[in-house]
Amino acid sequence: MNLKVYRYREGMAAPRYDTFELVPSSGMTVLEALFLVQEQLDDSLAFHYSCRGAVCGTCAMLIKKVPRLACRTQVESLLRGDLKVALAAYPAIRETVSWDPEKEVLVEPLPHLPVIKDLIVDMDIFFRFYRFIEPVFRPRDATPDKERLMDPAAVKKLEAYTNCILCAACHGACPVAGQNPRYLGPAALAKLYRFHIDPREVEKNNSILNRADVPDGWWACEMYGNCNLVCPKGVPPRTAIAKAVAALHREKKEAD
Amino acid sequence: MERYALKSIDLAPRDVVARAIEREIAEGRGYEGGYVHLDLRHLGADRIMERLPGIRQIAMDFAGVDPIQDPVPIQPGQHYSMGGIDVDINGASTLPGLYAAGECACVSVHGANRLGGNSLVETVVFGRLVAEKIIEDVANITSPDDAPAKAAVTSVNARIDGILRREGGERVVMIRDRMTDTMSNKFGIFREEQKMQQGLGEIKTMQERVSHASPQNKERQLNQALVRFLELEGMLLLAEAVARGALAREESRGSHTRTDYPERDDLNFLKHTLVGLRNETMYVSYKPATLGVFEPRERVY
Repeated sequence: MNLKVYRYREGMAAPRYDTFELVPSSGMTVLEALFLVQEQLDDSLAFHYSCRGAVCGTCAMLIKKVPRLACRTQVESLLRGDLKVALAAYPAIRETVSWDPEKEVLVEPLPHLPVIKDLIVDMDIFFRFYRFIEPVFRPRDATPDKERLMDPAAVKKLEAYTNCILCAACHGACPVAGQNPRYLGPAALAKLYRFHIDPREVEKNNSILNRADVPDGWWACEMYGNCNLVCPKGVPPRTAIAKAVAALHREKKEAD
Repeated sequence: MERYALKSIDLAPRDVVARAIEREIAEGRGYEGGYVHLDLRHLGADRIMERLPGIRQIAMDFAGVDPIQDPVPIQPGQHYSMGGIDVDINGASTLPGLYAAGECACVSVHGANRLGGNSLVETVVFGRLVAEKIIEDVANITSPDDAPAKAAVTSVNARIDGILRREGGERVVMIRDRMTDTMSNKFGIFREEQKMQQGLGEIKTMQERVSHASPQNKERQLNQALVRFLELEGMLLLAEAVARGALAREESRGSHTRTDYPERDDLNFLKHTLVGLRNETMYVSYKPATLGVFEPRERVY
């Protein structure tokens, strides 16, 4: 099996691709393959990772032209072609380099974020958008003596969004984010929606949704839906955005 | 599990379960490759989906097993460091201005065995207490003299230059793998004097070997090979601390199980082990355990 890896460091006129030949062991993940390269073949390869267990969201990268977590993507499944995801096309997933999908695993940095080195991207913009939506829980009542109990059905609805691990796979899969560097993006918007539907929040009408009632917020989404398809935790940002847009429309109509 | 924890069976604390698994494997009842099966099937699909969706996902992603259909292959692994930087209840270390919270810290709430869910105490409770203490202290601290910090940066920089200048030597990963073997085999779940002495010798040899090794990558920016090298140096020091603490503690307590001292010895060892470095030599000392409202009792599961 060949691992074809994007290489770049400051000062290079253009990135290059290095191909490493590996023998995949049973159950080997892309992250383990990258470790193997770093340990055995080329210790200058750089990539970000932390928990190795699909919890921390640090190792999102473009794997065979799909944003995925390297730590939970099995090499064998990739080679067998089991993990196909039909994404709406955008420039970063067009064929920019020649590779053989049957024998090679192509690994590139997450699109739409500046590359610092090899597979490491600068997440600053991503977190700036996250900060912009003020992802802070503001309960409507003073701290109670006991827990704030919630209806299990409400918890379930919330969980669909609190499961986000901020890996930015959705950001790298979003055609709009690729075109509009000011777009708040699926992760931040889905997170904002999570506070909107939290029954413990101090929401007045759509006051929480209003934080992203700007041209580069809710309204910039073009409903491609790539975000829903790539999220490693099953978070559906597109669905959240559609519901938020509907709520805002309703409110505007009522005001008229 | 009935053989090991009659009452709590599969829900026994992790040290009990870990020892049970090791014993089953050692006595030939494990599967090839050294593991046993965790069977969740009696819980049924609904309960597994409702209560253990994360566990199910992990089993599917990393072992290719759906616990609703099949048992999950498991074996003990290092999971959490119960020791850490010696701090008081506010997270303050003995070095003024240095605070620690979380897994790197040792507030001593866990003792010799962290029970399930207790890492939340580290994050939720001590994360906040330590932050509050820092906010309180910062107001009273005058602007520190930055000369020692600058001198330290210069000296660390020079040390890194020295490491990167080294040519040849062993591959760092070889030493790391060796250390992993030593720690698993000599300081793993069942410990014993002779094996541990041997292990300590191996650790000292590895510390010597790492002082001649160097990453091949000589870049100064984002050099992960250098990070791995520095981590290995640190881990080998930590390995020695674990070794010396474990050797000196001639009893069994919590996750520290000595086959040569199988009983808990409150008379001599109801105390915390501290490991320090003086003139580049490691030494072991102790600090009394504060029991508070709890009376030490025999653990029965």
